[in-house]
Amino acid sequence: MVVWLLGEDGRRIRAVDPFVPTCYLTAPPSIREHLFRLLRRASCRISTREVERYELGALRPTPVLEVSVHAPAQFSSLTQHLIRACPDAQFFHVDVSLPQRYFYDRQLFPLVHCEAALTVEGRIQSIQALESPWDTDYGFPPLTIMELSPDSSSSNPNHGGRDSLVVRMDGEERLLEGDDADMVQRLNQLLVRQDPDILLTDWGDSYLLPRLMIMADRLRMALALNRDPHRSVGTRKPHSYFSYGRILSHAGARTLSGRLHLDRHNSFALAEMGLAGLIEQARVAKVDLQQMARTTTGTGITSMQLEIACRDGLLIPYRKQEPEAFKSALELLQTDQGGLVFAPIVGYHEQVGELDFSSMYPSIMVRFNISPETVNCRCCRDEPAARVPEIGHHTCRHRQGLVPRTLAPLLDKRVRYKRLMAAATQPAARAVLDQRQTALKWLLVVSFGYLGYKNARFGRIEAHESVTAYSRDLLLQAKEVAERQGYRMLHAIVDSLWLVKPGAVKADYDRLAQAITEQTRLSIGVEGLYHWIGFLPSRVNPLMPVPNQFVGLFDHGVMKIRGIEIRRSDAPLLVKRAQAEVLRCLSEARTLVELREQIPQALEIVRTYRRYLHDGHATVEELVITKSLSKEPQAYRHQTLSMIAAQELLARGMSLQAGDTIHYIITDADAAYPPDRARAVAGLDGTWSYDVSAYDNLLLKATLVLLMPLGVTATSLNESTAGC
Amino acid sequence: MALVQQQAMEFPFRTENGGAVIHAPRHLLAALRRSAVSTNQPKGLVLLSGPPSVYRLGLCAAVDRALAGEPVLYLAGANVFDPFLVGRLARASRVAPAHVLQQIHVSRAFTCHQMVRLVTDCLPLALRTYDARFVILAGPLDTLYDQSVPEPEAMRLFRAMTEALQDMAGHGIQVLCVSPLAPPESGGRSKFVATLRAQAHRVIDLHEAEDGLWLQEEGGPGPRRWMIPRLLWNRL
Repeated sequence: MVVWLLGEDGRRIRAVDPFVPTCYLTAPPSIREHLFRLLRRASCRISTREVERYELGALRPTPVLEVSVHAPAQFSSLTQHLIRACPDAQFFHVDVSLPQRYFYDRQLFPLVHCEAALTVEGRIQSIQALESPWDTDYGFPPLTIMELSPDSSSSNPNHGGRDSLVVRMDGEERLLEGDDADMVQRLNQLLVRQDPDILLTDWGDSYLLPRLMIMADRLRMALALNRDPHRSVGTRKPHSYFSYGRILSHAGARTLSGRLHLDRHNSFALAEMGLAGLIEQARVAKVDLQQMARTTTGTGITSMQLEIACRDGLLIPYRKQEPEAFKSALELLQTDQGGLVFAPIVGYHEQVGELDFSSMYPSIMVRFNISPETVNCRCCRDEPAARVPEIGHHTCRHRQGLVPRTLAPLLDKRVRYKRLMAAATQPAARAVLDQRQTALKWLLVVSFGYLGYKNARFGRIEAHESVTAYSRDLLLQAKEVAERQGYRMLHAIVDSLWLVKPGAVKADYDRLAQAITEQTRLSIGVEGLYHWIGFLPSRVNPLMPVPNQFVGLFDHGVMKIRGIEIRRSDAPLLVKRAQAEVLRCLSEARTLVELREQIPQALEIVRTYRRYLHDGHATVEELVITKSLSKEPQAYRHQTLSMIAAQELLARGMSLQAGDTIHYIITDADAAYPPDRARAVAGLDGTWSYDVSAYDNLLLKATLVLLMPLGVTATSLNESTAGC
Repeated sequence: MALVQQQAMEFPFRTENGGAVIHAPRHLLAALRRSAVSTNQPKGLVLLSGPPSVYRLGLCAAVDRALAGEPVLYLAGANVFDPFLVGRLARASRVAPAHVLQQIHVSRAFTCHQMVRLVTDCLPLALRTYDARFVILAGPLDTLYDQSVPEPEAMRLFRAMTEALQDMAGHGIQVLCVSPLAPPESGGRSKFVATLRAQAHRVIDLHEAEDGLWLQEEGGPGPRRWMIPRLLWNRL
């Protein structure tokens, strides 16, 4: 295993640790000889021994063959060969990434402060961590960062733009222009001279690095993207995948050896929690930073579970095979429910308090010991205290499960970060702590989904059902406590409640939170008190409430907004701006009476925006609609606007796949000839015009939803703001 | 105990080409009962194939058997089991939904490895446990189309699953495979449906038209057609 070390003297050292990965297998007697023959024929040194290991939740150990591969580089190809050649054998520990296995085995993690003893050839004799991944007061190692960006005004350079390159390092910015040879040569000089530890790019995976590598290859010029000259650049093709019911696109990857390549436009972690958050996730999950930046958060939580499994000597199955146990459809109906939702009372309300359970689902998993092997265990089925409310499942009262053991330290560390944040006086320090606690929050958030996720190593649908059953019970308990104290519930959704009680102040809500915490033994806190909050109606049927669609003004002046255009990525900027201005206008009110008094001003804002739109002043940036392709472009059967824009891009030679984001404007939504209805932004020239009526409709819808509960109707909004 | 007495039902209307028009949920259930899905027919492997609407039709078949008091094992490969449709069909037959829901035993598989394990290992035990003779496999191939599973592995799993199904059918179990058509990007796996079709004792094809859904049965004593008007289908 190649390990890059940053010495105290500033030297970057390539060291090699003789790590021997193992896998396990069981095979029927009929194929054992065949299997051993294959192992004997392997091109690297293999050692085997018969051992006994447990599968998760098994009462008896399984006799397995332990296979140690003394050339880690051949581990993956060898195990894949065995899997193909012996389909009737069962394999374990074969598809966990080797860097992760190395981290587990050596009790290390990415960017760990460590002490190592090396031979003169750079062979690691010993290496140990000098800190724990659960420490909160660690520093950021002195890594040097070079930033690379395309010099393009286009929202996605893959859809068109110029070919120059911006390089930033140590506060200096250079524009690399000229022909391909010039650009490759100058970039290579910079890489060699500056030798950065991190290459932080915009569109590096999908655009910059692939193009630069093709250029360097074609010109037969050196380009030192890797610090390690023995390795080639790691390449992963683009692909689409499903996540939480949506199809997403992954831009592929270009990973480097000896330095890190992080692409800001191909990293959920970087976008959501910044570099400090990404490092926090990589440390606790023990996942290589370049992989952590590009993978789903679920990979992080899975890695934490795998580490515990490895530490316990449990077998990690190659493919999860255990299906759901049969249950009657009636039981399914009772058990397979999500969190509890009380529909909101539509309209604006004043003096409302919001209470939120803290990390409710992970806390439930820890408190009630919910894990694949603890749900419906054999030892506790007759214990009343082990029963899950409403449904027929029970959880183990004797042995702590793998999932709670994974989550407990995460919950604890996040609480510690939050305490540190509250005490931090420097904004920069607070920002770093916030990124770190956000990183942990995401790991906790996905931990619930991974209980039921099809590819989760240790998922089980019954565990998933148990969590939601407990959550429903706890929310009901919270509601009852609140109502006993004279509060009225306006809305509740899974782990949050919106309550009102005339005259109640912050201290009253704090006391209520304390009472609920005592009753449920799960921490709940006061998110805040609102001067007013509006639960907004359905746009299809104004009488129908919509859960989690609201705007509220906290008593500290901040607004909380959910479910409307301003939060949506596919709404045009102009529409978002109009909605934001109306909200700003409403936020000057402190009471419902004052809120109604703001209506004329709000209507004036809408009028101004409509006039701007009708006068033809709107720019591309204000009109652009961003959508994600929900399927492969060729699979669309109807002429939707997204499909029309996608077809235009395809005709221009761009490559698109399901999950890719496209940007277009509506040019004439009712045009008989479909290509006239919308234009891709990347293809716009000086001849375009926009569909005033289509954007006007979007504008009216976005503002009506805020004003309707105050008595404004669609007709009155249209008529009172039409004065051009 | 049979909750609803089965009896022959004449369809009052016919299409121009002689297909029976199904006018009510009870007609739909009767049509399915008369088709290869019926336990009166020789046992074996039956394939119900077509657009995704086949899932709802498969559920109708499950309800029909459950209404007759027969335990049904429902293996969901595409997470398509809809208990509310079961309830509506039960109510349309004037039976308490809970009675029908209790007769149907469900297990969901989210990966092809789970689906194959379900069919090869868990199903024989479940057949004994629930004393069932009727199995519905809803979307058994859906999980096999998962591109993260290498094609040779998917092929091997498909073979293991179909061998187990044939074995069960040979032992007098009636297996109804409900399978939509292969997605366009399924590559070499697109032949799974054709293979299943070749192995099935009878095949019912579903076609969607503007006026409704057409069911056509092959492999029986003679080809049969039913038409479900769009109005009825949308009401289900």
